[in-house]
This record gives sequence, C-alpha cells and structure tokens, in this order.
Amino acid sequence: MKTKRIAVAAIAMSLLVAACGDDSESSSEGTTGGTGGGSAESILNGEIKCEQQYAGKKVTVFSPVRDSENDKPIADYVAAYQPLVDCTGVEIVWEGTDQFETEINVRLEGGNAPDVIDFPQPGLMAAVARKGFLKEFPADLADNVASDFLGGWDAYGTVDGKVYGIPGRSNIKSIVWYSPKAFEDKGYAIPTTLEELKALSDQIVADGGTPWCVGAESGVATGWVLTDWMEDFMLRTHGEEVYDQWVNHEIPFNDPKVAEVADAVGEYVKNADYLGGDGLVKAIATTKFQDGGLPITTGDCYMHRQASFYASLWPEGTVVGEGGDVNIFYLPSPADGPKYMLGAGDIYAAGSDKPETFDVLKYTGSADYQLEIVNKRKELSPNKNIDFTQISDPFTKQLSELQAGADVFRFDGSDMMPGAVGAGTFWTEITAWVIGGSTEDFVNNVEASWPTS
Amino acid sequence: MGDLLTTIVVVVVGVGGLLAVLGGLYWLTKLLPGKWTERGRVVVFLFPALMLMVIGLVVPAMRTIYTSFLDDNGKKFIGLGNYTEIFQTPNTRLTVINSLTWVLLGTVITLVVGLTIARFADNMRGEKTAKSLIFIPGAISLVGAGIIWKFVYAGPPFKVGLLNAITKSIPGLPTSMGGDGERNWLLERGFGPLNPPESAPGFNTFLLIVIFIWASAGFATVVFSAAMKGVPESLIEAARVDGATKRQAFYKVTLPYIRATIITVATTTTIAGLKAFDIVAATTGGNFGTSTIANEFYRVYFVQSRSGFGSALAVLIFILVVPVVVINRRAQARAEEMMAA
Repeated sequence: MKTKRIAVAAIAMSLLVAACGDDSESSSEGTTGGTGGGSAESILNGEIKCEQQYAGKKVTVFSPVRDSENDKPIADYVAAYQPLVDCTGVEIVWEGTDQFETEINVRLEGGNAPDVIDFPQPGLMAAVARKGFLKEFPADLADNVASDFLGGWDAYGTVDGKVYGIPGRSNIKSIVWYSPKAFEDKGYAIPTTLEELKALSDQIVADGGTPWCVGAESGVATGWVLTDWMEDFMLRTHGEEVYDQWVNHEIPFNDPKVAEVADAVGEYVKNADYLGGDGLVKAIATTKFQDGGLPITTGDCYMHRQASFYASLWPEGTVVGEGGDVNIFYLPSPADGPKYMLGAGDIYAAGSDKPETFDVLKYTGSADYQLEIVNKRKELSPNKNIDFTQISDPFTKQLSELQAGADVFRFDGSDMMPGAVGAGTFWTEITAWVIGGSTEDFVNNVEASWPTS
Repeated sequence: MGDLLTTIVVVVVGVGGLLAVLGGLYWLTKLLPGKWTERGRVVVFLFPALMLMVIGLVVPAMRTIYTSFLDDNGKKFIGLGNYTEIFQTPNTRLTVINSLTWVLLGTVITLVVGLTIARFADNMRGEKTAKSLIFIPGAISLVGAGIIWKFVYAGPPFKVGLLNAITKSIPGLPTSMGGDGERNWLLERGFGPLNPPESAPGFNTFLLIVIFIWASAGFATVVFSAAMKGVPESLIEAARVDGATKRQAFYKVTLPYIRATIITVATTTTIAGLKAFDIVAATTGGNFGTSTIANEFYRVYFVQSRSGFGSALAVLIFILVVPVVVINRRAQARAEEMMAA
C-alpha cells in the first residue's frame, strides 16, 4: 500500500520535473580540411602571410549557429574560411549548439574554453569578459575593430575600455514595410524624417485610410514587437547615450524619460485613428506577429514596422524589394539628429590567445569573409568595407545599403536586459499597456521586477 | 541506413546484455540459503525499474528542489527567497490563484457534466453515438483544442468568431457581454457587471477553463457510464421496490456505488488542471492575466532562463499535487473497504 502511494506521487512528479533536466544533445559540428595548395603570398592585403604557419593546428569556433533538419548553415560558415585555410594551413572546427548560453558558461568555467566564441549578443560577451574568461585582442586586431565597422558596432566589442570582440554579422530592425503601389496611388512620398512620418500618418487618416498595422502576439513571447518599437523610439527621442543608460539600468525603468518614450510609441500603437479603431488597438495583443503586416497586401493598412526577416513572411508570390509588391523604407530619425539603426548581430571573441586564434578572428571580421556569408546566408555584414556591387541578392543588397546609410547602430535592448525583464516583464507589461494599461503602471511594474543582484 | 543498423545493433546488444546480467543474478539467487532466495529474486527483478526511477525521476526531482533554493544563476543559496517571490509578485500570485480556479471549477464542472451525461445517456436511443461524439474532444491534443477554441473566441479584426456571432444575434445584450459582436474574448477580463480586479482571475480565465472541460468531460462521461453499467441491476430494483424514486435510486444507490470511480476521475482531472499549460500557451500565452503556474514555470525557466525561480514554480506544482494524491489514496481505501463490507 505504502509503496503504491509513493509510486503515484512519483509519477505525478515525473510529469512535472522531467522537463527540467533537459540535457539533450543537439549540437552539430563541421570542419574544413588542413592542407591546401594556396599560391597567394598573403591575404587581407598582407595582414596575414601565407606560410602554412598553422599547418596541423586546429581552431575551434563555438557558436549558436547549428545545423537543423532543413538548414545546414555550418558548411557555409566553414567553407567561407577556405582562403585562410589554404593560406595558413589552419583547420577550422565549428561546434554549433542550441544551448549556447548554458554551455558557454560550462565550457569556460570547466577550463575547456573554445578558441573562438561566437556570441549572439554583446551583453553576454561583456559578462563573460568581466569574469576574466576572454583574451584581450592584440593591437592590430583591436585596430581593425575600431576602423572597419559601421558606427556603434565597435563599442559592442569593447568592455571597460579593452577590446574583446569583433563583429561578425548583423540584421536590422528600423524598417517600415509598405506597398509602393498604394503609396503611388495616393501620391504619398516616403517620409525621410520622424516628423514627416507623423505627418504622413495623419494625412492617411485624413484621407480615410488606416496608416499602421501592428501584430505583437507571439505565444509566451507576446510583446517583443512592441519592445522593438520602444527601443527605436528611445533612440529617436533621447539619443544613444540615454539608450545605453536605459539598457544598462543606469537610469531606472520608471524614469520620466522612459515614460516619455512609451507615450511617444503610444501615439502610434495606442492611437485608434492610426490603427483603424479601438478594437484594433487591443487586437495588437492577439494578432500574430507573422500576420501583423499582411493587411498591407489587401490595402487595409499602409505601413508596418518590422525587422528584415519579415521579407519571408509575405504570402507566396509577393515580390519583395525595390519595384516589388511590398518594399521597405528606413524608420526615419528626427530631422535634426543622427540616423539611428536598431538591430542585432554576433560578436566573435577569443577564448585562447594563440596566434592562430587571433588570425581566425581577423579573418572572420574581414570584408572578404563577411561578403561570403552575406551571399551564402543572406545575413548582413557590419563591416563597412563591403562592396555592395558584389552582393548577389538584390534585397540583401538593399538592406545592406539601408544599414550603411545609418549613423549610429544600437543593439536590441531587451536582449541585453536581464532575462526576467528583457524576456519577461518588458514583454508582459508592454502588452498589458497596449490593451489599455497606463504608462505609469507599465514603467513602474517593469522597474519593480528588475533583479537586484 | 548505417545509422539504422548501428541503432539496431546497440539496442540488441544493450537489451541482450541487460537480460544476461539479470538472468545471471537470478541464477545466483538459487545459491542463497532458504528464504533469502525469494528476497534475492525480488531485488533482482526490481532493480531495473528502481534504477530507472532513480535516474529518471528521483535525481531530477531532488535537483529541481535543490535549485529552487538557489538564485537564478544557480550560484548563491537564497533559502526560501524564490518561494516568497512567488507570493509577493502580484502577477505570479495571480497565476497561483488562476491554477486553483482551474482545479476547482475545472474539476467540479467536469464531474457534474460527466455524471449528468452518463446518467441521462444511459440506455437512451443512440447512446453509443452520443457517447462517441462526447468522447472525441478528449482525443484531440490540448494544443489543438486551444487553437480550435481560439477561433470560437476570436474578435476583431477577424470576422470568424463564433461566440461573437452568437452574442451579436441576441437582441438587447450589452456591449460588455459581446452584444456588438466586436469583443476580443480572450483579452477582456470583465464580463457584463462582473469586473474582477487585477489580482483576481478574469472571465477570460473562465473561458479557458471551458476548453479544458470540453476536452476532459468526454473521458469522465465514458468512465462514469461504464461504472454505472457495473451497478448490479438487483440493487436498483430492490431500492425501487422499497419505494425509491428514480432520482433517489440514483443519488442513494448508484452514486455511492461508483464512488471509487468518481474519486479517480476527480484526481486525474485535478492533476491535469494543476498542470494546465497547453491550453494557456496555445490561446493567450499567459497574457491578459490568464497565466497558470505551469505556464509561468515554462516562461520563467525556459524563456527567461531563470533556473531558481522556475524550479520553485515546478516544486510548487508538486507540493500542490501531493495532497490530492494522498486524499485520493485515502478515499480509495475507504471506498474499497466499503465495497468489501
């Protein structure tokens, strides 16, 4: 009798806690070969000499990029190193994992550091660097970080004045989708300043149209679309310095400046006129983000603010880009300020201080390597020396030009906030706010949830 | 192909090896003196199951309990800090209240609905068809059920919401009850004069519980119906002869007789209600004040990577399940005694 009772309790428990011990192995590896018959004397304009100096040496790259059933990116990432491999004889071993954040800490604290670490967000890299696990870049590599990248990126490789990371690839979010045909029919011009964007929105309302459509439903992640709006408007309202203070919690989340930004966003996403009625403001919270911009194709709204990935979410047969059914324009900045670009990307850092590690990093940051990735993976490159005429996909080229046209880049802020906020209350509270909550409650509740340690 | 072959070889060798070890140990027990042979055999046969229990269940459970006393990085011991946080954070406290509402309303209504249908469908014409239809929702996954009901509750901009179509067709229904057919049912916490505060479950939580009942009532009906068929005809006849009405016979004879079954269904429904996750995740994602403990656990542990707080939530569900299991066992034992008497 008693054992039975224990067994029943144990079964009940198993259903609850089995999920916690999920140590499933879902990593994948790829390597590229050691010897090569490269005839060049040097690559990267002489920065790396071709002397087979690293023959027989391996450099491991630890990355969240991994192979899946339908997509095998590792081969592309590794193959792009071929010129370096042919030149120096180094062997690249790529280790992809879907548990990056957990595993990188285990590896570093266990004294099993990978040579090169591909951080999907700089906040994590900074935390690891402050624990002393990363190697500071030598002067020549640090110079590349300072000189080769678009405005704002170098800062994300630098921690407390020391350079630890080189930007690898990027994507951008300050984008507005629209239908060129709908704009042409009504004679609307693409707004080039934030003031013009507002004026255009009002004009569309005056003409009887619905300027904006927004969808923020994303299961447990519902709300992230709106946090992106907040970040874009934080940059445009208070500039990058306040943005950084906000992200790093050097000003509280319920600072009047933050509330001001929320209200600025509210002028768009909580504006019944802009969205086509009160019911549609609330519907933001129940409309899937994937469906958010689709009313553009049916003429039910004119503009949708969403990152570059939205290109793949349009209905089949929709031509995307210049001259297509839907196109993009830059979410403009105020007339008197710099052009801000919100986005995300990867930073590569060194877990060992071997010379081959730093040369692999140097090559990873080069325009030569990144152009390969742009063309093979349709990623963007934060390197400012990319020759756009070499980009084969027209839409990727258009995005690259848009990115290069901005003055200051800033990384997605919610990704860099503590998980409890950036993947928690920031999402839930902004959702509660958009369906009718007050700005005061929104900022106060998020501030109250900020971890104290 | 090579992979498949390797897998087959590994399985055959592994299972064969295990059987060989067990067989060997079994043979060894024969060498033990007298009564120790029997005891040895028990140990040998229990060993594989026990090992699986320990590795797959006890160890992870202990680990979860342990991490629930650590901070979110799993580094610092913070005592009951995570548990006090559950009850001090208004939103998390609401998830606990929501879960208890799920258990209470979900279980009670499922039982009542199940018993009612089982009683009145009994010996009715077309009983089998009716029961099959009622059972079907239980065969759908809860995520599927959530998605189906999302269409029922859909509000603008979608014009397909079934509930909105119904409420719109009722003349004179106030807007606060969907009279205009423009209500976003999953999102609104109030309903008519009902206006729950932020700290209490809203009407939308009740709508989610309806999905749960819809999915679980079929199972209850079928089990109750089977149990009722097991009530000896002679007992009911005897009661009727003694002058009991049909109604009295049902309450005084049938219900007590199937008591053990009712307790079993109540227990499984209660536990399912405590673990409610799929329906919430598929409909609201836990927004609009509808989150439950299990949904919050998932969000905190896997989305926010907060191992300490997430573990505390998992342990809380466990703590809430334990009394249910204990009560169930007690009541079962009593019911069995009664049957034996």
